[in-house]
Amino acid sequence: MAKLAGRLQQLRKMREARDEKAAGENTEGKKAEEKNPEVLSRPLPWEGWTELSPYVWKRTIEVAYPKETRYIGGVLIESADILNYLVFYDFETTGLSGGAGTLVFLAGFGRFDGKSMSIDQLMLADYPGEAEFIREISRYLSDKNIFVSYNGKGFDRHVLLNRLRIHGYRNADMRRQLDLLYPTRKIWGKSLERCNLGSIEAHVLKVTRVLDIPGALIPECYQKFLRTREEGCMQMVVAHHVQDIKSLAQLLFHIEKVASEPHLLIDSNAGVGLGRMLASLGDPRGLKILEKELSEGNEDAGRILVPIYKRKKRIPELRGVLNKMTALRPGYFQIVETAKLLEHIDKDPKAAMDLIQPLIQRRALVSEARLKELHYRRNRLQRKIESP
Amino acid sequence: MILLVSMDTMETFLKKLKTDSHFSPQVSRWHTIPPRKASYLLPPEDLFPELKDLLKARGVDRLYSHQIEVYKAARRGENVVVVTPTASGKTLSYNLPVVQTLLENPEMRALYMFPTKALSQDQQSELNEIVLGGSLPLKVATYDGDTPKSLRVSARESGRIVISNPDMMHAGVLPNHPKWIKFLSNLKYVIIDEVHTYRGIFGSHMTNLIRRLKRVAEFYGSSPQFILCSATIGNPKELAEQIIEEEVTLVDRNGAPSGEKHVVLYNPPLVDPVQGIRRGVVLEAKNIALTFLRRRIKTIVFARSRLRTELISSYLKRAVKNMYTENERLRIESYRGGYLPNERREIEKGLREGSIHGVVSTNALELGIDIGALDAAVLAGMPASIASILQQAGRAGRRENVSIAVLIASAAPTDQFLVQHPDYFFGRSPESAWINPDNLYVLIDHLKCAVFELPFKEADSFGKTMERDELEDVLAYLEEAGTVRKSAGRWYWSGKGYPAEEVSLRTTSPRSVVIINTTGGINEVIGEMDVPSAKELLFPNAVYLHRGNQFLSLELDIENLKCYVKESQLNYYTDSVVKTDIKVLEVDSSDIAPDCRVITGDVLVRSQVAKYKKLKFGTHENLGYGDIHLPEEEIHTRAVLMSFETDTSAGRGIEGINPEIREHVIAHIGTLIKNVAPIFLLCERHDIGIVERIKDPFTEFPTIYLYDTAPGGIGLSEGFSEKRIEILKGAYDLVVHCGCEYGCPSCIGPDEGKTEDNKKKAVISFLNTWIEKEWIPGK
Repeated sequence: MAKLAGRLQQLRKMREARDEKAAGENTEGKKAEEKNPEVLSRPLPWEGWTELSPYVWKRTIEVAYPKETRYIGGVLIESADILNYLVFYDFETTGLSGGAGTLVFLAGFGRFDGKSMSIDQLMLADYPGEAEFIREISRYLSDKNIFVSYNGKGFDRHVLLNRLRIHGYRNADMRRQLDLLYPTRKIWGKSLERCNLGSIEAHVLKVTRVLDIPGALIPECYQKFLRTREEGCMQMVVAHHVQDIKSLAQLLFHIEKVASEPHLLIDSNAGVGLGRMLASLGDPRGLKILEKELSEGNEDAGRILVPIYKRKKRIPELRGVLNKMTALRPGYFQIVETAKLLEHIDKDPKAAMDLIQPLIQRRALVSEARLKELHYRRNRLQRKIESP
Repeated sequence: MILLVSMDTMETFLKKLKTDSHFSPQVSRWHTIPPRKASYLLPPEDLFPELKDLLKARGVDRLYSHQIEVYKAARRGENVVVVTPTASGKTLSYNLPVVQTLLENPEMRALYMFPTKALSQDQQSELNEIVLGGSLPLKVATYDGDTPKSLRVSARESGRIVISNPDMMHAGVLPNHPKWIKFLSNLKYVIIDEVHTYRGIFGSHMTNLIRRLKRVAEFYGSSPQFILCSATIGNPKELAEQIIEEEVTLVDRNGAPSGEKHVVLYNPPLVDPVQGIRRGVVLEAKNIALTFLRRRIKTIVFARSRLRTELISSYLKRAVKNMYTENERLRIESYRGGYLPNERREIEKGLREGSIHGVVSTNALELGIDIGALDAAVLAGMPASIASILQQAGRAGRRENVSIAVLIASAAPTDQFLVQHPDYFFGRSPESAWINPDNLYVLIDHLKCAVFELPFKEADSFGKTMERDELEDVLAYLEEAGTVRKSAGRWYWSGKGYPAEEVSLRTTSPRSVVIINTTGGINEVIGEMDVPSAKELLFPNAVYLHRGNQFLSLELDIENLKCYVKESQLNYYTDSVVKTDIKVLEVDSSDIAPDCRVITGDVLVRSQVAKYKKLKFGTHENLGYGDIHLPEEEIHTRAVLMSFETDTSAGRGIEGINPEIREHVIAHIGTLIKNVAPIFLLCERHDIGIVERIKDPFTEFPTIYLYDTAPGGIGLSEGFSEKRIEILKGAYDLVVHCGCEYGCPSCIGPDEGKTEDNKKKAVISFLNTWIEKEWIPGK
């Protein structure tokens, strides 16, 4: 590889030419910064932070969170005792795709104590401190705790597990996870275009962030901090991170609260989402919410209620739902379900047939597959009518 | 309906064929390989009784000698490469030591790597038979792109033998190595099958992938041992050692039996002796295959391109098309890359079960995908390597029966060379595999991935060929680009995203174009193709063939990686013409040899697809040209220059030529070299580029450049420098023995300039002066 240096030189030339072409007008700022890779001395912790070991910083902040705002509705949390085990966590990482090269550089753990929530933030001020940084994080990982996050189960936890394994912690884990993304999606998934935490804050929790940094820019901002040691955008990241953890707690209690006070929901679709979730958890409030939404004209609520009542064999309720749905709109679903009720429960194939026939005649409005089903149903009804 | 040929009919048929008045005159060599007896040894003493019983249950009470050799070497802790022809029980040769060792050590794991997903699926069923058949406590798991998420965790956690492919290791396993901690910390064996396919760019990537694998394994405290399998090539041990960068024991004495084999070299009749034009392989292959198929001889036809695969299969289908006889009860299919996986599986199954009687394939079926035993192989044109020829021919007669392989030479120069020099072909393989693991582009890509996987310490190395300060140079380069960051003596990943995602092991460009059929207003994806190939095959107005259907390219959107096509019924197909310009960037070495000056170094090559030809189906006559407007490609690569300085024999040779035709002669020599070199360099014709100049601005003498068409080079320029004299002699042989009068595409290219002189004669006389010197060994 005698000529490797020369080849690298050629590559550099090509890259520079490309960069100049691409950047055009605004090259100066970036170039000045990039061309100065002088060795930077170890950064000093910022005000309010302490250095636990080289490059590992920590601070603890208290966020007022009075007891009366900690609402427990028995949805995700059964009793106030559990509050002591909840650890609200969030990690900022060097990349958004995961994998062995993605590091956690900012970890936050929030817990309740008395009147407030206290949040520990651990920051990795440069890569060489990672072993100690991971050791500090590992102290928080007790199997007694329940780790509350937003998409932590699918992402944050895995990034940390990778780092733990690389540093030799073979069993450390955050086993008990309460990931709020899932219930949130169930409730507001249909109401909101996007279900990320920012969108939930804006539309559901009514939290406004001032001077916030978009999550997608965070890895870049950290790299810039490593290169230049400028606090600038990293202070925004740290503030953003605190807000994320605060929002987690707020969101958890909001979900607990709306279960009992569904009028607080942003729209009828969220009501259906909540009703469905509660019903699937076996919570009687679910059916009540769905009934209410149906009465107020949301047909989707009926679609969820029908299979539940069928399964529970609650025929009068089932009939009620179907009547309400048909009154709203004589759609395919309600007609077919009513026909089934007439055929199997009321044993009245004739009445069922009378419902089905017009649907078949309006064939243009019915899909191929449904039409096939309808024919099948009609033929069976015909047989029943002819030889009861 | 008779589906299978009995021995008797096959033999009678071969006798008939030998004396057939149309067939036999075109045969340049009918080579009969007598049946070979097996060389057996008893199974090793230390074999687990369960394993012995299992072999017995499968009817194996003795093992082939090469299987025992591999077993012993592997058990001594050596890395082994075993060279095995098709159907010689190579799978068992590595399964035996692996299974035995894994049974002895319940913690240990093994990784099997196959070049394609299809092969790994075959392998899993084979292994399951061994393991589950005897209910041995070994879990075998496939881990590739098709493995459902639900099975991935158990593969990682409890798979004792994990079957995967290099691409999955590269993008899935290594970048997520902490998830594989259990597997990687106990990794004992790595099996690399079909190692001869890891040449050129793929091989260059493979060495780097192995460097990464070893690095991560070492981090978890393991250092695996390697068993590799190769088809017959000239340098299996060297290639294996280049790929794993460790010493390797060679096992190349085959102990497996084989039935009688007839290998027939067939040169289609000359249609125009003046221009050296022969009847095309497509029609010849169709006719020969049809003769076989109509005798119910199960036949595979190998074509040299996707296009020809489609052509031959559509001609065959048309020939047997008859609604009254259900197409003569013959089912014929085509098979090639670009089909969807389930389409391929269906064809493979049909071949195994016998419902498909004939298949026309690209080299996609050359590797060990299980399609059962076939009786005849017809090669429509020779693949670019003798290893491939042997593998394709070996598709016929996997079991101990008589089989035939007909190798049809096309007008391609390598084919004409081989068909006229059969000894080259039946003797020791002249071809060697070349790779260039230190291709800077490849190296940089893998270093990025490696840093992402684990930071580099100052004492770390990466492979065996790179010095420490060189490694630091590259890391420093990456640091400038912001992809890595050095802090307290270590380099860390600091780039965006996931580097392995942007690196493809198979092509030099990771981007591929999706082909969308827009016929009838429905947008349906029918295949994909890498960008450089797309520029040559899918340019606007190109005719593209897919599964026998014809499409017209409407739009090639390189930026968004999409190509829109619609079905068409044109009577022609298209072929593109590429223009090239070259500039020397850096000289590595410049040596004066007695015959010419040889310079190696880096060059910048600009090329543009500018025109295309329309060629009529059936006759292949040229119907005219069209323009292509696509951005040019620019590559930085490796080259070797031969400069014909005044006081060298080549310089004197060129002096002796009429100045008016010098330029033509040197161009013809360039064509000739391009035609012959692939045989020696084990590459495709398009892997090397040639530029000839009568007065080169850089050397100031007549000069021929040979360069690697892959960015950064894949070792072919270096290979050429090493084998230069051998290749030039081969070139001389080809042109002297070519049947044409004035030069044809099979040797120096057709004579296009209208001058008095016979340029073929001039080329021969030039080469004669150039190489006919005492100093050339063996001349």
